[in-house]
Amino acid sequence: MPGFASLSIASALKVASLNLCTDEYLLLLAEPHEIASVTRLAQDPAESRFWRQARAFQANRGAIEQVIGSQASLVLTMGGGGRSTGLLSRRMRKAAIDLPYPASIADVASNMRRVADALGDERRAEPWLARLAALQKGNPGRQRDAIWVSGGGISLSPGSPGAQWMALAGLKQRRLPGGRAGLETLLLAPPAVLLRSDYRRGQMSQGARWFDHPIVKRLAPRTVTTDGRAWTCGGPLMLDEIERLRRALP
Amino acid sequence: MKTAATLVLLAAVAALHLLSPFGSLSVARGIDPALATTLLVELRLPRTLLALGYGMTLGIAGAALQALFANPLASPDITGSSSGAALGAVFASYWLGLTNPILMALAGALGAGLALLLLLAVAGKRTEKVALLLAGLAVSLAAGAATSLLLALAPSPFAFYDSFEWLMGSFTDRSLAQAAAALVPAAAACALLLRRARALDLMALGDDVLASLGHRPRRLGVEIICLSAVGVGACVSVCGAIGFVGLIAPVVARRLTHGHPGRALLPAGLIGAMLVMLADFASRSIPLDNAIPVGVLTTLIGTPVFIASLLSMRGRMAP
Amino acid sequence: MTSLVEALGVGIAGRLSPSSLAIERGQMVAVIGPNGGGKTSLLRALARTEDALGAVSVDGLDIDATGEALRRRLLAFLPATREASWPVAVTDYLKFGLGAPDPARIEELVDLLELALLAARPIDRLSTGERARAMLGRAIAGKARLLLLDEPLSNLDPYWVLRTVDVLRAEVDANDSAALVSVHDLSLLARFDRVLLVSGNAIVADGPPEMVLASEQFGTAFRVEPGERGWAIMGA
Repeated sequence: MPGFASLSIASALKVASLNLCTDEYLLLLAEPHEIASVTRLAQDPAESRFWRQARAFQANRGAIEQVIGSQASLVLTMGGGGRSTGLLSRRMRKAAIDLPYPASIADVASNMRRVADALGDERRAEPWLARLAALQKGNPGRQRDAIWVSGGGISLSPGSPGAQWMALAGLKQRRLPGGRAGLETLLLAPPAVLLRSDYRRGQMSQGARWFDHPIVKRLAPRTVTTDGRAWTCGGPLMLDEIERLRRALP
Repeated sequence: MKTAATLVLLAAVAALHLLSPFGSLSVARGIDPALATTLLVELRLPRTLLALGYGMTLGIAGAALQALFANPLASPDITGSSSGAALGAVFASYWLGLTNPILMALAGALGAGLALLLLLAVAGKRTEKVALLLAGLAVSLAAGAATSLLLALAPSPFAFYDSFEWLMGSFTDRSLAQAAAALVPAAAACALLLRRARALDLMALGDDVLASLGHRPRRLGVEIICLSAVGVGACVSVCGAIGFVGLIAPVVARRLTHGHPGRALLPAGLIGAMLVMLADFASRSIPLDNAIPVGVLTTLIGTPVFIASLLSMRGRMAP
Repeated sequence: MTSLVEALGVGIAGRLSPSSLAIERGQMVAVIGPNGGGKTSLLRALARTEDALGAVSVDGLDIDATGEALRRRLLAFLPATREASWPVAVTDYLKFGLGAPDPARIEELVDLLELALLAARPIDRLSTGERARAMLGRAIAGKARLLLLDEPLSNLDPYWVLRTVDVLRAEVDANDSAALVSVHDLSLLARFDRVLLVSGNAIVADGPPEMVLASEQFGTAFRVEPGERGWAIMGA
């Protein structure tokens, strides 16, 4: 796209990301001097694997006003619906890209390409895309019955991006009523693999207490823990996690 | 005769609560009889025990508080005791990071006790009935708001969504260990309260007459407050605050005991147990995607009873 | 022979300075005095309420050392308040005055205090005067050795004022006990054996009615004196 190409040639390209999920793309693909601002969440160890790197940058709380003074020439958002972020950024003579929520892994890949292009070089996305292709090719044909759970038994819908990532690790997310794994279900029809998100594991909530119930603990032999932070966005950081799961699962 | 009938009824309600839904039990038995046992023991039993025990505690504590304050509308929720317990438990677990259920029960008891003390400091025991209730409602609302605030500011973002469970109650997915942490102190508190039932009856004659008969009204007052705080506090720390049962059960019980406030303690306990079990049963039976919290049902039933009681009180207070 | 009741240093901090007195069997004692002077405090102190000082013995037994069962036989207290919080039936309320069931005694009281029409009604729905009778019934039900009654005659019609004094006299005579009754109506004093004048937080006069009425302390305390048409303001 001509507009972005001209931006990237000017060494003054700086990008501000206003959403945790767009932070992921930015932190993966951009050089530090190209990053103007990331969200506060990206700097929180409980929310992001990249929190250390993220701390080098100014933090924003997802509002366009907070990046006015940041020299950002491009603003990344996701799901900007309702907010006139795009309109305001153009008024402030900043370019704006609104990435769509990924409904599939293919969407994640397409977002990667788009951000790499906005940074001036589509080839920056290639390493990641190559790894994804390798994962997809070497897909283990056998899919085991699995349930992903977070606190309180909250699970994923089989069509969701998270479930599609699980399939790449050989796990088939079961369809559950209400999107929740009830204790009765876990007792009477336990999955082959219980994929447990450790998101905010040490912090108290009723959902965290759910994991202490004997019926959940009984499934310890078939429970595999996964870093819950990547699952929040289901974005590019999932690649590392799925590669790890592939290796970890027998 | 009446007691026997009540106990039979209670057992029937408990059996209904324990075994429903019957479908999954028979499915479990089909797979493996041991599985059905596990289902009953690990999942259903804590649920039924908690509903029964919590309801009984609310009934007995409510009746005791009503006798103590000589006020037919005093109760753990209206005096702020339940909300205070929730505040204590939330502070201890979300902010101090305590996980031991016994410590949490203690925190709940402390919260409940402090709320009652605050009420006494603000209103005093000898205040006009309605003034005491207003003070109690104020304490209750303040504690409820503080609980929501603590949850909103807690480290985990899930905490805020927990406020519904804390303020409206829940028996879902509790373990036997949690049931024990709540019900052992609650049972002890109830037993000690029941031993004071006769003295509470005599309290109807006034503190001075009670003293002239050889009792110590002030000490009795402190005991009642501490015991009901411990009982209610322990239950709230596991199941959240459930309202109105502590109000309705004693009101109904006093109909059966011809107005005697102390004699009503045990019947109130039995009625409270049945009320909570039935409300929980109803909340799970309504086929919706989201379960209705128990506290919502007890409030829906309780509010008209509360208003009716208030209206009849008003008639009596007229000169 | 020792007195039925011996009170040593009884009082209530700030309300009644420690006082001692003895009461004999068969005595009907009236307690009079200006409002706020300590009348109620004397009765409460003798009844051993929580803030009471000193010691009281009845029939030689120290009250503070006895439990409920024995206390009921030794003393009974009727406070001045006519408040009833709970809808307890009148007969059940009377039963509060007994340690063990005694249906005959309850029937006797219902007759004595003409409570037959009110027997099944909840006490909190009665008029003040009716409640007063029921509460008096509770106090005398146990036939205690010492009756302590705080203003039992207020809120009563003239018939019941006189009738109550008669009932008390009959009870005291029948049980060889004693009664301490605080009264406002000075014209009733002739029906009592002894009068205690309590004023300024102390017992200032103690003796037969005529003596106390004529005493200087009486005038100081009440600031009224006998005149042509009953009582008149002193010095007017």
